[in-house]
Amino acid sequence: MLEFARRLSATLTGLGGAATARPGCSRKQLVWSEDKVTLYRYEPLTRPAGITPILICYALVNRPYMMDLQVDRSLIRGFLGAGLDVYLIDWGYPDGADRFNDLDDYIRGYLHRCVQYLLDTHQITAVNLLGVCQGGTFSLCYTALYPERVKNLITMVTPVDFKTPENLLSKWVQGLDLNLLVQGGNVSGDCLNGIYLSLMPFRLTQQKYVDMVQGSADQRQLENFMRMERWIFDSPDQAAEALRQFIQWFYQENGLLNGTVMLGGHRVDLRRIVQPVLNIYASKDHLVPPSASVPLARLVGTADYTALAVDVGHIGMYVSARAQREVPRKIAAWLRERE
Amino acid sequence: MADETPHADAWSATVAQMQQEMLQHWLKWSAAPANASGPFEWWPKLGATAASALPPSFQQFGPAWELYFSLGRALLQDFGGGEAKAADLASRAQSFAAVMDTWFEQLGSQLGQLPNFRVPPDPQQWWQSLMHAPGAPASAAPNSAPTDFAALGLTRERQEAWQKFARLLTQYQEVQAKLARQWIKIGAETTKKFAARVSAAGSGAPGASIESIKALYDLWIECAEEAYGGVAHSPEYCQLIAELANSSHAVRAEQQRELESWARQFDLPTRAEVNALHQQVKQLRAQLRPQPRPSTSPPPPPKAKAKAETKKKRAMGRRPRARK
Repeated sequence: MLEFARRLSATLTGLGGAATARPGCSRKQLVWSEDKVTLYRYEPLTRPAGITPILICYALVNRPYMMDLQVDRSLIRGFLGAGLDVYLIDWGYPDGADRFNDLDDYIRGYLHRCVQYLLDTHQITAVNLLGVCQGGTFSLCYTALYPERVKNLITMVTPVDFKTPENLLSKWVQGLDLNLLVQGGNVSGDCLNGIYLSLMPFRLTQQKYVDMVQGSADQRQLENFMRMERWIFDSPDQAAEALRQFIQWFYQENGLLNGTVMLGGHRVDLRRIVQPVLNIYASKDHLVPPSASVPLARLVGTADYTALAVDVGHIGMYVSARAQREVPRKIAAWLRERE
Repeated sequence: MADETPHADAWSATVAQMQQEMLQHWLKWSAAPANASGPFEWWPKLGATAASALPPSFQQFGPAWELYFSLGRALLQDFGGGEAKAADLASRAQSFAAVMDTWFEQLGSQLGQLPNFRVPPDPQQWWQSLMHAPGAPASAAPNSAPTDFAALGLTRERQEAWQKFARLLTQYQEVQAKLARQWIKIGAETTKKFAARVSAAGSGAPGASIESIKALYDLWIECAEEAYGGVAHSPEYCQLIAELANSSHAVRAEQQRELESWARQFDLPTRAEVNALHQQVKQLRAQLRPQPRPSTSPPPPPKAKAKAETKKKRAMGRRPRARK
């Protein structure tokens, strides 16, 4: 009892100090913005590798600083270390003024203009596009609509088949009345957080914290924990119309698989993706199970398709030591081969 | 009015009573024995010093907690080379499961008594109780009003709005109760799994040993997640989750409608008006800057052909290196 109390006290004291730990470690510059969307360019860390710039399209449902959480947990730092020229889209925090933003606004609007910025700035005709999670789904749609603007496509923990048996989230949303959902306006980040937690409620609301107390009270580890904790609960509200479309088209209608997604009246046909594709998925992912990502192979039109399974979970793809070792190096090598 | 059915508020009253008792006794609990030498000594000593302080409605939790902590004690003795035997561990685990089972059953039967969950509103009964209930406060009437009276007179639309709201709220409560029953199932299943695995550990089954108190806790979590996963993936649970979301959204929409109605009375801007403006702005922006037309290239050929074309494209498509 005494030992436990001592450990708990030390952890709580340490957490107090760690609470100020800020995420983000690499220097970046704001190069373009529109409404609440911002495009950043990261400052190089090493000699440029001479590879076409890479644009990272992150998800709407979380904040993109997970890609650059801290020095030893940063995929972006890995890319910079490999000499890549890295751009990142930050979708911002939508509010009531954005409730009618739809997927067309995000994909053929903001994403398209970010791509255009890179094309103009670098005087090139196509970029390397890296889509992460939901951002991967957006990137697939974009590439299918504008294949000439994407030189190489990389998808990371990206769902394609939204109705696989392991996908609990998908099962839950099948019966949602989406008109009722959007009648109340944007969907709050807190609501999304609650849903994510309820996928594994005992582990994520109890065991995680017991493990923290049980573990070392080392200040660095506590700071790591707090950065993660901050990111996990820093979920932006979701623009009502975009979320409605995303759930209906992808989760309920499985539109990417069935070829029924229409953006601005144009059909998203994944067979139009004929450029090289690298599909990276996490073999222990509970949010985007491998079975949701793997079918991409048979849907795209390219013959240059590579799949890379990393033995981590969804979050581990961004922060685990294994992912830090493997992912940036392999992406850089894959791009270099296709430059 | 509140007593229109014999056990209308049984559940609410129980919960309120439990809360009250907890508050009343919390200070006494705070004065728990400071000399407990381990986590598993705490509960019995607390019980001994504050037995009279234990709230009556919490008495049923007592045996369950005592058995849970006795499991921990048995494990500690095992680690310390004490006299606890494997069979002892198994029997404690089974006793714990039995007590928890009883508790879950009780909880399930209490849920069946929730107001409005089984009996539809009876207008005649409501009217009679309204007319004859001695000393019933006037303010109680709207809360107990049935949801299917015909709305009449000057306030007809207000009555309809409140009836609709009451119906939606009832639906929401019904779904909540159904979901609570699912959670009782999860709890019971967790306990069963946990007891079985602790028993297996006690019997020395290979790969089933529990090495520490933390391992016992981790086992509990593992069993809980397994039990939860089994239920959460079931079509019944998935349907309930969707119904819960839909009914809560419906309640919210009705509340919003009511608020907007008040806002109009005071000439305050409503969300509907702001929405209309946003849509106009969006349309204007679309007119000023149309979205780019996508590629109109013909559908791609099969993959084998695509390979050759891709190679050709890559060979032709070399471009000046990116400017830094």
